Amino acid sequence: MTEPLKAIETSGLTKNYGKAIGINDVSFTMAKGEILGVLGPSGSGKTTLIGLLAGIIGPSKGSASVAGLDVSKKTKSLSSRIGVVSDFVGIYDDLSVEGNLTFFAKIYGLKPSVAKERADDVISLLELDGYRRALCGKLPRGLRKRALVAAAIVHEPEILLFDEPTAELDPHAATLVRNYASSVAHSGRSVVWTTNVLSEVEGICSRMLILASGRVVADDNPQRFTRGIAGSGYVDITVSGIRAENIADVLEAMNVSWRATGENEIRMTAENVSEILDRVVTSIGRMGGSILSIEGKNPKLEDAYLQVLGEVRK
Amino acid sequence: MRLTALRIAKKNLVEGYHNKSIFYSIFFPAIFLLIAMQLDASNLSTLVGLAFVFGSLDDALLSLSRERDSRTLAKLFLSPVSRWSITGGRILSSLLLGALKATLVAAILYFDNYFIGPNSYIHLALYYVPSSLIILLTVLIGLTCSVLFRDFRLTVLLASSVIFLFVIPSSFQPILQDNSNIINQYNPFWLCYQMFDKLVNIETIYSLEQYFLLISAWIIGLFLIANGVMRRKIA
Repeated sequence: MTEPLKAIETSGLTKNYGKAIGINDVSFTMAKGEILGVLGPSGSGKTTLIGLLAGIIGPSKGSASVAGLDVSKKTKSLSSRIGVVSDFVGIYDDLSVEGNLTFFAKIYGLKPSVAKERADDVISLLELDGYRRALCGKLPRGLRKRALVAAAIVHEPEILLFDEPTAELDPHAATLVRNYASSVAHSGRSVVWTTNVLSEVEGICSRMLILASGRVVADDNPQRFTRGIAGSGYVDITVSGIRAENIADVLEAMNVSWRATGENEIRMTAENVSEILDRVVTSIGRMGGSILSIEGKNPKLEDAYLQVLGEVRK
Repeated sequence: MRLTALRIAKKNLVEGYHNKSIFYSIFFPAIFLLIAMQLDASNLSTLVGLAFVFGSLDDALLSLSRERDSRTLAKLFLSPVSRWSITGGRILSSLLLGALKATLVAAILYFDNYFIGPNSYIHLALYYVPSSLIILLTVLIGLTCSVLFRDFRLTVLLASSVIFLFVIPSSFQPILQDNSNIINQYNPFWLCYQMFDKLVNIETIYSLEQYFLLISAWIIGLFLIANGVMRRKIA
């Protein structure tokens, strides 16, 4: 049997809680090796989506398959392929970090010696070495969250469903988890990553969904989405010794769009503005001009995100 | 499945050790019996039964609800573990603890010369049967209520009410072969009291099988209900 190329596929996935909408008609596919960021304001359906993909919640309508398996027909094969970090799931407060990890590794079918080895690996990966014998219930929140992440990955799942995995984590621990997610994607496995931290999506996600009131309002690559909504970046250059028009020829040769904003000022706009800036500066120097100031602005995901949500609210 | 149930049972015991509930569970029945016997030992078999019921309340009322509240039950449901293993593991750990508490209670009875006569060792060995059955009954009523209701408070209230409804009224009735009414004839706890009575007070063992069969039917029924009702979608 050939392995499915799609890690996740949903079609018209809908979940209602009585009259309240959890998510509404969500359809997307996700390839193997992808990190899919899921953004959205509180109550937009991010956690519901994770619950549905994990099979913890049953859909009201529509279907979802994870690793080629229908999540509504929850099977052992599906269970061992996914790892979930979410408010839905917990760890045993009255077991040590190591106790939790070896227990979960064993119930996922790992042999005791392998389970111990995997627990050690994950403990060292998330830098929990100093707390391996500490009871999880007595750990500070951040460390407990790290243990929760560790318990989700101890059986090396093929698909990770991470619901705000870095919430409550200190910046260093958050970096550890992000690095892990990136390495997972490089090895051909997949990650669904819900978050409210937009820089995480820009940093690690190859694709993102934005949910608003349970619906998908954007599905794109984060950088492309940002440019598409918030426009390209620009750089304002103020020169002396030459006039703005003198630079025009240089910029046109580089296919950079520009406009003069003053006698000695010019604004250039380009998708790869930071890459061509060096060449522009060198050319101005050759022409005998000097640069008084350079001020740039790159479009931000935050701007585009807020703009889209604003439009949805209207 | 068996191995997983064993692992879950072991995990339950380690958890109980860390949160100290294991000590209550093991020692309380013996303490209860020692005190109760000082007050009135005339209805000893009922006191023994009550000791085991009270000693199993933590497992019966709190264990599964606590597991659901801490979201670890959802974590188990997300793993390849079957619900049979989850309830099986819970029952297994209760039985292992039950063996320890039964041994302590048996020691008290033995040193008070309750197991007497030519068959005393057989009686002593057989005494573990009603001990295990009454512990199983208590735990299974709790588990069944836990899977029926999601709310922690409601589960505890309902389970304790059901257990006490079975246990308390019948404990006031003197145990005689011919005085049981129709309700008590099918009350599994009452039947357990009868079994204890036969083992402790009577030198011959007779008609234990009929009690055993009836109580086993209750246990199997409760186990099936608990597993049947347990929802896989619990979030």
